[in-house]
Amino acid sequence: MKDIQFDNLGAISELFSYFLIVAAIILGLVIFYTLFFSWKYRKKSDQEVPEQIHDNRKIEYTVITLAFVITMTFLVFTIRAMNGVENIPKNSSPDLVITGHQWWWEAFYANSGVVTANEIHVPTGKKILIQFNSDDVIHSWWIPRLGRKMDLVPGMDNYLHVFIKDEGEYVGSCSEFCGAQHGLMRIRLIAHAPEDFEKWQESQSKPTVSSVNKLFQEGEKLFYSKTCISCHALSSKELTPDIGPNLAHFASRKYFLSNAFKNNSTNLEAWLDNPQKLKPNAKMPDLKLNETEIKALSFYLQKLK
Amino acid sequence: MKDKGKLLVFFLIGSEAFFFIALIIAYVYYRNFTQATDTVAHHLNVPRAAVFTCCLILSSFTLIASKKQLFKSNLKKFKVLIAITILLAVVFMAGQIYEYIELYHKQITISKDVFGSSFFTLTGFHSLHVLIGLIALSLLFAFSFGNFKILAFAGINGVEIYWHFVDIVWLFVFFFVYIKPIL
Amino acid sequence: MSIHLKISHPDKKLPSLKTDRGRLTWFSTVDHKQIGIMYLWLALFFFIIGGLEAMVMRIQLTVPESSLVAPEVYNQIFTMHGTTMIFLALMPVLLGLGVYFIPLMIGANEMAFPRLNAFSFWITCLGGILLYVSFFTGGAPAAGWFSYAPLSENQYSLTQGVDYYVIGLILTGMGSLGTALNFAVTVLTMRVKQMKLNMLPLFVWMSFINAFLILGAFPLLNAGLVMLLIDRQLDALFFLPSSGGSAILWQHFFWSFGHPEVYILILPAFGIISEVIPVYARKPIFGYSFIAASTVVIALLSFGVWGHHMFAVGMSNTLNGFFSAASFLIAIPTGIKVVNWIGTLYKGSIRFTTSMLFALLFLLNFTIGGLSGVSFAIVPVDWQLTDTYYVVAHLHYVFLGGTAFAAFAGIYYWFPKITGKLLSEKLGKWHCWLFVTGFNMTFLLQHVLGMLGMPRRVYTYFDYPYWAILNAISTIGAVIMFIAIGIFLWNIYATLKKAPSSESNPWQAHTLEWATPSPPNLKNFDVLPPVHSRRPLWDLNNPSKKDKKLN
Repeated sequence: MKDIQFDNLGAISELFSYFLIVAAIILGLVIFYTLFFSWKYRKKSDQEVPEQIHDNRKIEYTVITLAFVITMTFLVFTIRAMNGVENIPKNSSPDLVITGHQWWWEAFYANSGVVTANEIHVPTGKKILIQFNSDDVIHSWWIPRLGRKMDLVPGMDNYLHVFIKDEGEYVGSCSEFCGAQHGLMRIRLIAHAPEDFEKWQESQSKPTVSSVNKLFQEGEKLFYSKTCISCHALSSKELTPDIGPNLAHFASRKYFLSNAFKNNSTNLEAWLDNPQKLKPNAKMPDLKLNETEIKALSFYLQKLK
Repeated sequence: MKDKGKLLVFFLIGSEAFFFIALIIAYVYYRNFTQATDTVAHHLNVPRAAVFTCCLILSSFTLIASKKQLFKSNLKKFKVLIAITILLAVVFMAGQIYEYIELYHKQITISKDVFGSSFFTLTGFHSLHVLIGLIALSLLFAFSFGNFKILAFAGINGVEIYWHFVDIVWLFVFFFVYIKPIL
Repeated sequence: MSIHLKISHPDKKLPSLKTDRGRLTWFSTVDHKQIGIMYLWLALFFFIIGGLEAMVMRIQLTVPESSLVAPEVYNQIFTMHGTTMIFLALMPVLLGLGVYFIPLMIGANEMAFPRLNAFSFWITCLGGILLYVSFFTGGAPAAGWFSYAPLSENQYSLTQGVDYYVIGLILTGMGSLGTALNFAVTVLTMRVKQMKLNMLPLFVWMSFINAFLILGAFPLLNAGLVMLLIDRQLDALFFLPSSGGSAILWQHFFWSFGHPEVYILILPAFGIISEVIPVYARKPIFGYSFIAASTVVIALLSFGVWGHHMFAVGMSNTLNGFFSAASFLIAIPTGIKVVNWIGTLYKGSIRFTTSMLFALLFLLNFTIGGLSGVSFAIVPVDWQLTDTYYVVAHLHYVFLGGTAFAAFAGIYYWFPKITGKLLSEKLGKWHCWLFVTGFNMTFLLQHVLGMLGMPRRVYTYFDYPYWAILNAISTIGAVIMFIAIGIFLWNIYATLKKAPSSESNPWQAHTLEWATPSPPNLKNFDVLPPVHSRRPLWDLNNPSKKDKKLN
């Protein structure tokens, strides 16, 4: 495991546990002496005049030296751990570009050209370089189990190496306040074995399957006539328009609305009926659809495998 | 007894210095730490600004001279010198206004780009301080006439320090905004 | 040869609402004691408002997926809670105590600039009012108390809330600057003749150093604020990345103010603790010179640590390392103080008054807050924990467990000085114990919430393991604190109705403010006791065991 220079969470937890031990000892001493002195030297009589001690240089200098040694030791550990993170030169070529939007995540796979949103897939056992930027305000990418967070700052590219050993789902959340729906801006990262990831990427690269089903075609028509298409792209190779999430292969996602709601027909219909009710302040306008239109659109979207 | 007013102005300008440092940092940051190129600098008329700068510097010296005359109780000379100080400051301000108008005709405004924003904000806040100084100087001048001469004595030390400060700030602004880009 | 205010007759009593021309004299007063009292009322008023806002947040977060409060309302509430507590509750209480006691403690009859003093107070007031007017103009600011650009720009904050925030903060900032100027000049020029600078009571010393921190830090905020305002009102582009501006620059301006501000809020609190503990332990402060010197070190270092608020924005490791080192270093002088306060207890004769209890509990709470603060200097740990509830817990241990506990200690200590009436000790102890219980219940477990991954400033959350139970406990704690504050208010109300006691120095305290009648007359001092040590009144009461002679 030498080549994986920085096991993010491991290094952080190790440092943090050292810190906790030292902090606990210091806190313990402070509590002990405060309580012990308070009890031992409580007032015995109104008349007593305690000895007037002004200071004790020896104690002061000992404490200063000790504090200095402790903090500088931690500084050395800190710098070492920090430099353990590979310094990524600006303008390097990333495997994955994640762009923050109010309030969803866009993912662009540089090698295959696939664009997807919110549900982000990565291979395990491989170091991947993620580039972060933002389209509007500052967001922050944080999956607690993967260690450090990284801000997505508009007008600035940030980079992060991610290495995931185990398959599975990793959840996290936007960690920089980004407006009304900051609270529901969740992250879901799905790590596959490399073969499965390739399979997934291939399936995403294909155009979405059309269907002769009547409801499907009705929904498709509505998607264009109700101007959904002006904000949402339907092809996984399209980066524009960049206003709402790319909906190619939408049905393959388990959650939607930046991973806040399960992707099922009940939620989808509720969303299409009145977006502001499900997610107040979302950028999605109320399209004033009637019930049959909602049903058709929802059916259509759920078939976009 | 220590001069409380002098001390107050002294601390005040110390604090104000931080404010101007922040504004200058913004300007320098945009020019040196972003990819953008300074769009304002080459529209500025440096020699002309240098002349106005000299006016402002000169006004500091006339103010020092006027203070000397005041403490010598030579009111007449005091009035003349402080009037010259005010005049020089007005000339500086006029130069500033002329510069703004000229830039405006070249379509350089506060909302054009970051350099427009920081140029007008920085020089604007400096001009505001010159204006405040002008008011203070005019008050001293006015006090020297009526029965409030004592106020001129009380105020001159503070006003003087403040005025030098406004001067020095301008030197920094002049260096970073006008001189630095052509070096 | 200068222009003086008329000094009133030595026996003239401080006006109350009922005497003289009542309210009018309060509006027009330039007396530092009256202004100080008004500061304290202002602080209390906004402390209650900010507390109510906190309660709304806690109630909303009690259960997962709660929809009691709409997200945009929640965001306004948390923005206003932070802004109110920092600028309108903690600042005024500390400045107010300073305005009231600094002249008294140095044997002066007034501040150096009484009119400036009144101006500072009223402009702070105006700033507070403007901030709250925003609620009636379509919405309070909702971009957080830190107002990160570009979220705070026109495009993303559509209401005028942020404009009110900017103007409100500039005005309160001007008030703080005015008061700071006044403190600095007062301490330098108005001391009684025999009092050398190294004989200043520590509260005065810390407020004095604090004045310079304010003078250095607030202009940086003001510069950022005017740029933001110009962006919003005149379409400038300072912080708009889409047009060449920089989002990070705002953060640099804000935190280069914001971190000194943390020390601005804690240094006077340290001062209060350094006054209270020696009085109730019947000893001089342990290591006066170390406490005084460490304050200066803190003040200097505090301007070099702001970057630790920004470790996650992607700065270079060199910069990160520099800010990390400075943040570690600043822990040392702070630690020294704690050691010295504990040292003061050693071999004392400790009286457990409410004020002393608050001071002792301050020691414990503040140590937790200080230690958790050091964990942010460890850059990789900061990468993990910044912007989570761990930070929320940390900052409340500093501001509430630290500053507010010290303020309570100060209020219980000085209340008889200000009013001539002792706050009820019985109610005070209820207040103290309930508050400390509720406080720790609310915030101790939030450290864990942060480690579990709960980010800050979320209006609701999903039911992840342990999140719901921890949040529920937190809310119960908040309710207990709320009750404790209710008791405190009742205590003030009931005490103010009582007749004044005749004792002018009920705690046998030893600094000059207690050498006047309680409450002091309009003119502070008619005659002053001799000042030869840091504790002139101790020398009077204990002629056989006089304090170190320093002049």
